[in-house]
Amino acid sequence: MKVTKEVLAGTVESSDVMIKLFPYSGIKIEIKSSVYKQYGRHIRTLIEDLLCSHSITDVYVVVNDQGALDYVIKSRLLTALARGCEEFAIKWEVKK
Amino acid sequence: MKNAESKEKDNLVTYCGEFSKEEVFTMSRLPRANRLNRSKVSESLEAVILKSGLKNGDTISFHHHFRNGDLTVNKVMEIISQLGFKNLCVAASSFTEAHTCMIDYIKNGVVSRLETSGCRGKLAEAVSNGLMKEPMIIRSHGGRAAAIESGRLQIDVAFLAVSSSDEYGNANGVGGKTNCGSLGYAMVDATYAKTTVLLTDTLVAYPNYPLSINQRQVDFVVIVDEIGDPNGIMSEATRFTRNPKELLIAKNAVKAIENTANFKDGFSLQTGTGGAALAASRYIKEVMQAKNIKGSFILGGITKSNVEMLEAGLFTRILDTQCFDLAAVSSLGTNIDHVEIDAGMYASMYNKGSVVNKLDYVILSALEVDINFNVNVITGSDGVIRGASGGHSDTAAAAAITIIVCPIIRGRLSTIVERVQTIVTPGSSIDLVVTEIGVAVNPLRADLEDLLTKAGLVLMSIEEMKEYAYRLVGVPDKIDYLDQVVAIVEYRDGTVIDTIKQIKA
Amino acid sequence: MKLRRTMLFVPGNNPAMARDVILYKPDAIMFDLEDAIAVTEKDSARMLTYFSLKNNDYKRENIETVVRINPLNSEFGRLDLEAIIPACPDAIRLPKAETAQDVIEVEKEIAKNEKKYDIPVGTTKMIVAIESALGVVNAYKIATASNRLIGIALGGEDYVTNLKTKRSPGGQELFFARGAIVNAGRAAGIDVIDTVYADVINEDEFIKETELIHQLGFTGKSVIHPTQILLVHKVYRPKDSDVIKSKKIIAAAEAAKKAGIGVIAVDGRMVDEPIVRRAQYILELAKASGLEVEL
Repeated sequence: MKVTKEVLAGTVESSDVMIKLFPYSGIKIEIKSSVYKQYGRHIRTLIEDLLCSHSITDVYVVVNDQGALDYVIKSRLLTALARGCEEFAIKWEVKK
Repeated sequence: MKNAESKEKDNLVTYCGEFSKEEVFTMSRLPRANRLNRSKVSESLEAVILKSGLKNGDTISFHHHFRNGDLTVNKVMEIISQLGFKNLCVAASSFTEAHTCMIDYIKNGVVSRLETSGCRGKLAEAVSNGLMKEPMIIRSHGGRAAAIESGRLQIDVAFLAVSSSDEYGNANGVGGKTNCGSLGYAMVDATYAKTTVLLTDTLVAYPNYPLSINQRQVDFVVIVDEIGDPNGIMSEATRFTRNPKELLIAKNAVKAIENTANFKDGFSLQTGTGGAALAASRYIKEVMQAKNIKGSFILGGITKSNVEMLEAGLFTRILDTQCFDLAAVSSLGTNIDHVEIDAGMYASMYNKGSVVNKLDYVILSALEVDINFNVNVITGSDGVIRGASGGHSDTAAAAAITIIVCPIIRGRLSTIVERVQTIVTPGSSIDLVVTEIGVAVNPLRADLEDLLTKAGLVLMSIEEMKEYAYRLVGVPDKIDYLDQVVAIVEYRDGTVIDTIKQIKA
Repeated sequence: MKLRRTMLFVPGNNPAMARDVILYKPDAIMFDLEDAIAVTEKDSARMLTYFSLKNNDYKRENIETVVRINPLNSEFGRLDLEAIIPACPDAIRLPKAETAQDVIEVEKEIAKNEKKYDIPVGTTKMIVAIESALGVVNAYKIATASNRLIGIALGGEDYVTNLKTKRSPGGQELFFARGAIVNAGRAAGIDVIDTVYADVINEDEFIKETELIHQLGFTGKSVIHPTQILLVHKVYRPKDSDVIKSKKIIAAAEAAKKAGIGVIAVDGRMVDEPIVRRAQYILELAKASGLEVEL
């Protein structure tokens, strides 16, 4: 699936992350984070995995992170993908 | 004369005029002409620097009582640089955001070594990134005083800003246009430096009083337009927090204090800076009033909160080594029970007994605490220098009960870690770590556990705290350092407790 | 017995708050997807609330989780339920209920989602908010419209607007609505929650209002700032004499049960089931108050 519109989700408030998506050919991820040294690598992996599990093949992701926890990053990324892709299906799963 | 001749044979020297020996028999740098004029006031800072005996490679010092409002370092360094001096060591009591200018002087070779208690902002980042060839020396307040007292740190010229001075060098931090309050750090420098230069914007009639720095110690007095920005004295750290998390931590800390044996008439207290530590002051006041307990003294860096406790009659005296806000400055100037002490008396291990040895409770912050209770207050979890050793290790070592107050996480960063980036205060000095989720008691103080449990505090091990935090934020990657040592952290006794390496860009 | 002295409103789109609230220990948290969220951010808030519910252990701190969805007649309400039900909040709060039918519609939609996600039908509870004159008129019908209902709340701001007046310190304009809603709620056997007080700085007025609604019989109050939580809990702390009395009653009830006797007597007087339940409630309040750290 491709991202067909330029969209953003999230904010630059503390503990949040702003994720911008741009149409692109292939996958490119750019990360700016207040905790880059400690979690930059982990955030990149998190995003790559999520894009993969949702079969996103073409997108330029720009991340501006203020120390958001993993689930917040997932949340903002999925919101952005739903906004930026045609027919993005959100799969809600029951809490265990 | 016959008597005189035989006396000369025994290495005794014959008298030959009232001031004939003055050039050799004095510590003073002042030319004789000025002494006869009975004034040490010099026309310009540049002239004074030239007369001070300053040479390349010397050590100069400054104090940081004007905090972010300091104007002296900039003024002095500019002239020193223009005059072409090189390879100086700058041994300030601390570097604040106001010392960013040092970066250029270091790059130009004017300054080649730094010794301090703390460092922040752009200068700190630059040092962490390998700005200097020689490592920065970091000492606690007590450690710096001890190094100076013992001669390990020899200051050649001390440039000390004072709020008011008379023409002969009697000076203080309360009698001028721009008051900084206690001159605790400056007093040590003035006592031991080879040459002492005072800078002031308020010249008062001789003799000035009080005598924080006295004329016996002073070589030159220079008048400047402005000694410092009074608004810069109020640092961020002293504003009273409304943050419910910090208030909760403070309440827990005070609950712990209330339920330990030292909390009785005559007890002494020090609270550090940081939201929770300052909030604790307010709660201690309430508890003391409720239980009708009167303390002996408050120690350390003084804030409005402390002054209110003194004025409410809850403590007999404040022993003040530096003023953190204008309320403290004002109180020092007017209240006879608010007493100025120098950094050596405050916390030096070298002299015959400093005040920290008499402390019952100290409440301190931390950037990081590890599972061995070691505390880091100097580097962030990214390895960059951003704090100060300050009085942390001094008070922690000596106080009867040492309490660290900190949130379990700050944003995505855990405060409780496997191993701190830098050890400033060793774990054996720490008794309790109080966070918003519970209290960790150092196994060395198992005697406190029962008391605290009965008080209704939730006790957990420090490992449990770390696990809780890591479960929330995830385990962080380790910071990559290069081999180069950019700073050496000295313990109070001059031994090396840790080093700080250069961070990978 | 679940205490509902405080329900802390948290905008569903704020990550920092979703975590920090655990620390403040309200009896319940209400994630808001409705009035606190701009139209363009409804999807974002929905997603974040879903994740917050799944990743934060509110249950461990005994904090009830409630989500205020958008009305079903908006484009968002159904999407909200579809996302939130699988995240297993304790209750859904529906805003601006005016008729029993409003409640029934939401209940149907909740049941549909429970079935879809294999959650036992009936698990998710409901709280209904009355925010208009018509809602007040229909309060009892609304309060009894579903077995899932655990509480009925007053939405004061919208209500006074509907009445064409403004809120005032004494709260006279809310007098009728408060009385009606407490009455309806108690008649229906469910909890009753008062409206928010927006001025966070004015603690004295807030305490006065809380004391008033406490006396009126409300179970608790909606709050918008952590500092308000402890103020409400303080007002709801039972008097020592009530605690002592309640302990006696529970002791008598347990003794009677042990002895197999059907009649409970305390100080020579007969005590029936509602009184025993009230005594249990008082002791729950006392326990919760005793464990608290005061700010």
